[in-house]
Amino acid sequence: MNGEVFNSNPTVFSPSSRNTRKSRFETGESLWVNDCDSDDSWDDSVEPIDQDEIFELIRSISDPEHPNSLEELRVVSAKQIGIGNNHIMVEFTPTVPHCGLSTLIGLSIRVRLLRSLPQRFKVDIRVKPGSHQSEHAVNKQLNDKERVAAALENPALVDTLEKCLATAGTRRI
Amino acid sequence: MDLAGRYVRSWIASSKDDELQKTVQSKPDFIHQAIHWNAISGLSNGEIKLLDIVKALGEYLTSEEDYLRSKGRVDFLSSVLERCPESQFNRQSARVLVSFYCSKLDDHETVTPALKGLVPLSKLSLLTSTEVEEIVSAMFQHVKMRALVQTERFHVFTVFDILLGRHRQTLKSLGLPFLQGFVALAEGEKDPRNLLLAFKIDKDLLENFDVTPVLEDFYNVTFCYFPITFRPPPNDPYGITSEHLKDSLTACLKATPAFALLGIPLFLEKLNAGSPATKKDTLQTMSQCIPVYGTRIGAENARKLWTNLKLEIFQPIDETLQELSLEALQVLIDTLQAGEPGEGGINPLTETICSECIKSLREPEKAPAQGSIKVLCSLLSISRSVASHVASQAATTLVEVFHTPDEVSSRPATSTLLSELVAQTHIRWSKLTTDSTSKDVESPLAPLKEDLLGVARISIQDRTIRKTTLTMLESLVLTPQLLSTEELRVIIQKVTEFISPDFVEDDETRDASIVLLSAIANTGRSSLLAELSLPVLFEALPDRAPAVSAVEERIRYWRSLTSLGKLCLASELFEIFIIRLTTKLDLLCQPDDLSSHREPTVAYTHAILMTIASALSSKIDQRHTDLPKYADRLLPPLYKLFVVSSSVEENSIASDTRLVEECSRVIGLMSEALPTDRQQRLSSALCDAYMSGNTLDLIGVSISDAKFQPFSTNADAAQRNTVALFSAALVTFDKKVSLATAGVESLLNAVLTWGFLSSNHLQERTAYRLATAIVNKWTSDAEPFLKGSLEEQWSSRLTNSGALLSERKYLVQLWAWITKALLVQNHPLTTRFSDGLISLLRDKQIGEDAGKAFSILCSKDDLLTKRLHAVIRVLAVQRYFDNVLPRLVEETNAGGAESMSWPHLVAITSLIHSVPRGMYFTKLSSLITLLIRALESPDTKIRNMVIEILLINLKEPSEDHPMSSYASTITRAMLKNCTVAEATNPSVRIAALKVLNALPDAVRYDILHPYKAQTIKELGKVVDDPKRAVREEAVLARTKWFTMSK
Repeated sequence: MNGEVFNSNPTVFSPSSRNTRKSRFETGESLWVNDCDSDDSWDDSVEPIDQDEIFELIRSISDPEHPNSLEELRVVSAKQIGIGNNHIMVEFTPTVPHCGLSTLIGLSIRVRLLRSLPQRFKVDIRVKPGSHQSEHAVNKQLNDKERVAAALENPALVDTLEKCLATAGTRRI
Repeated sequence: MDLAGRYVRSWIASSKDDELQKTVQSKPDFIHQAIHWNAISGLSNGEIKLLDIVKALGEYLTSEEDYLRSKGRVDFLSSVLERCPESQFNRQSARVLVSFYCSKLDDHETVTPALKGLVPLSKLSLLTSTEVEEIVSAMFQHVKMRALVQTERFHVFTVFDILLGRHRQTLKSLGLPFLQGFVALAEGEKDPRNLLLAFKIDKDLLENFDVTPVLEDFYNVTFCYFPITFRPPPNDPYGITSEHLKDSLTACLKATPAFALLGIPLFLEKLNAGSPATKKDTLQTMSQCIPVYGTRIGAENARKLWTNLKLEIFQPIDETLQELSLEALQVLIDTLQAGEPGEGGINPLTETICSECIKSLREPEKAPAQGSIKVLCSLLSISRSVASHVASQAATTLVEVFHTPDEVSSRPATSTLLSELVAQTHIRWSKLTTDSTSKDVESPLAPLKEDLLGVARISIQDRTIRKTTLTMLESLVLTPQLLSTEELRVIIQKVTEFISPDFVEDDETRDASIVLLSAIANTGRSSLLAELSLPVLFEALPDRAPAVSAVEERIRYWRSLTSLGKLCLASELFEIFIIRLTTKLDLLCQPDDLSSHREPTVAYTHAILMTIASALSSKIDQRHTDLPKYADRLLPPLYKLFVVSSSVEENSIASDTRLVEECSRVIGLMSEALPTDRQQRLSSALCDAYMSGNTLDLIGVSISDAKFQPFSTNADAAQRNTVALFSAALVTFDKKVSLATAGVESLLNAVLTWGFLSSNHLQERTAYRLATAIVNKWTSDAEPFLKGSLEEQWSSRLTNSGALLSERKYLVQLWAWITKALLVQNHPLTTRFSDGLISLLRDKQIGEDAGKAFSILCSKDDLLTKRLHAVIRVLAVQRYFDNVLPRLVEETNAGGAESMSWPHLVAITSLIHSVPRGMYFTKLSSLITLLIRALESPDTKIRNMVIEILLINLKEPSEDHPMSSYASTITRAMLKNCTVAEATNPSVRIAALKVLNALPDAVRYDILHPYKAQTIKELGKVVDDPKRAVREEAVLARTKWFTMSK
């Protein structure tokens, strides 16, 4: 890593303390306010992997440059995640257009999803159109299997990645 | 004389001969000891005179031969002196001995024993100033500290310590030379034991002697040790910690204000260049020294201190250092203010700090503003004049910044700073004005009230800063005599918008608003809330449940109920709350709606009951004492609702167990809060209604035709459910309450027979709870039942395999609950019941049920608690557990590993699972094989228990984990249990995944490494589990295995 700081003073948004998912009562599915999955009341319904769940997986990844999560910096948001039949599309927004760490952020999202999602999913990771000066290059790097594999062979890079991912399973609230 | 001579000669003889010493290594010491003791006992009983010993030693003491002088002779005398009673001395001998010893200091060979001898001599009260002076000057003249070993130097310090305690005046009269001499001795000391003593003397001298001329010397022998970096060696026999040294050194450093000029620059230097640990130490020491140094610190140094502390506060390395710096700064200003209050009560430096900080507030988004607000807030604690000055200046500035058009973008930051300032002003000002004379002193914010409210008026419109605005308003509301009623009305009106059910933006604002409104209620302005806020909330509660499709309306009523439950805790509001909600329940539960519009009505009713219960529970937690007042408003209507409808209607609300359960909670909480006499009244009314069908006292009306007979065998499910409401109140009663109206024995018999017909879980549980509570609290009245009816059931059903299976299962549970009611109070009947349960484990039909029932015995529950007046003996449960567990283990293994008794294994698992880890962990290693065996159970409940036990124990940190040797078995079993095929219950899968997640932290990497690849592969399938909660755990576990390393 070079010592250059790409965005020295990013805007930090407060993360939502709540789960983005609405309760069954709020969605109108249930008349009962305390209707949730408690220990003895599992039903047989299948809960498919959805947008909120993917967001839950990546929101707490740390930014490589700041002690904040990707959610706090609005790099990722639930809205920017698309999910289709065995296909997932994650879009992220670098804090500044010249951010040299965008690839690293994208890579950390990729590794996190690689570890957390079933193999049947194909994952596309892209920067938000128009939010980065070398958008095309970053996208290409992130979605090329061989390049990702090669990057993960680099111990220094993996080390940095693990640091970003160390917070991924924790909520800061 | 002869005796003394003999002792001396034998002493000399015993150690004279080198040859002899070599051959019998230990003997000389032994002989010495013996001779000593003889000599000393001789001295004390008057057989020998001290003078005789000296005379006998005479020739040796002055011998020309080094060996003779040092080895035994002076040493012998010193040893004798050490134990010699003071009565043996007289002025003459003391003088002679002192001068003898002082002269021996000069002698290289005898310096060691001479120092040893001076210690007891210096303790003599016979010493006059002449001898003291002699000792001191001999010490200064002859003792070369560098040439001495630790113990000898210790003697030197001890002598000074003693003399300082007994001959202070003499030492003082010695003046400067004494101080210089001592400093010279103390210089360069390194041993912690000696240092502790040296610091003690230093402190004494600094405090009580005129040290001005030698101040610098003292500075050199004290400050050179700062900061203490000593770390005690492992197993240090002296037990000196760095804390001991730190404390005694700090005592020296703050011993005299004269150190101010020398000390402060050193502190500054350490603060500038030190590591975080040094900085921490320096800041702590400074906070102690500064008040002593006082004004002698000087303006220049104070300024430098501020510059340095500013750095620590504005660019903090970590939070602790920042806090310590703030503390040091506060001490500094406090000291300066006390010493030189300055013009208008503000010291020039205080003024400088204040204006510097306020300047950086003008750029609220930059980092220095964060530090500044902290500094300003800490200044608020100094004195009223400083606080007024700071608060008004800072608040004015922030208000100004807030209104500056260029700074609109930084409003969030400004608002946060302002909110912090107002909050701290409120807190710290109230501490400054606690004394009675200052009750009416106006808060410094009072003149700025208009400005602050002006800011709030604008910022509360802005979503992003609404929360901080609400916090600021809360501090303003809490400041006494600040806001007028009119201003409060405006605030309440505005904030009520955010708790209105139609406000949809976010729940966090709603919560913060409720906190603010509750604060207003707690300052005695409930009536304003009743007038302005409550109508908005009650308006959202329809009289008839919204239709299934009306999602919005449903969310509205729930929002409104949640807000009401949190807001209406103050007495006046709670009364309105109870009246309105019970009325609402009455309106809701119309027979028509209960048949045609049932589900929405029941759900709405349930939500209201839940709200009442949670408000009651909050009030109990906050120890409000006004609860009994509402019992008559709450209990009769609730009982009436359920009792009447269960007697006359077909679609009674009592037929819904969820409603009955929630209502039980409300009744239980209310009845718990009643005093004993009110409980007694309730008890009689309840027994009349439930046992005799006479409901007048309970609900105010009689039900004709005696239709209310919930305990009768003909009662339908709805009416049977209402027994839960009876039980809810009864289990909370104090044991002083009499159940005579019904009679304990007949009540228990009624419960026993009633329980056979249970048609749902609620009824089963009600039977167990009633029986348990009654047996526990009214035990002696219950004994006829325990020895009569229950024993009858034992022989006719429990041990009779021909009896109905469902009835036997019910009785096993009941039996276990009653066992528990007895064992918690250590009752003699426990043995009979416990033995009975254990013997049932051998039963082919109900053995496993008996095993599972063991989870009841030692677990914590909400029934047998002090809160509900249960009879509980300390450690009774632990004692029972310690008895029963080994017995179960023994019986399990009795048939050998092949024919292990399964019900026993179930019993052990259930028992262990139900108690905290502390109760069994010492026996864990012997239990673990049994537990792993139980993992093979086809019953998921049993497996789940084992997995949860494993999890708790894995989470416990331990050097060499007892689970390590089973790591491979556990890993394989868990991978099996986290698949849908093996464990259909998601809870089991989740628990198994949690164990997998905990393993890498508990077990060494090299043990787990062989399973890494396989585990990651298997978990790759589990992340596709149909249940979201399972997937979440799978992700955590898989990540842990991915990243685990040596």
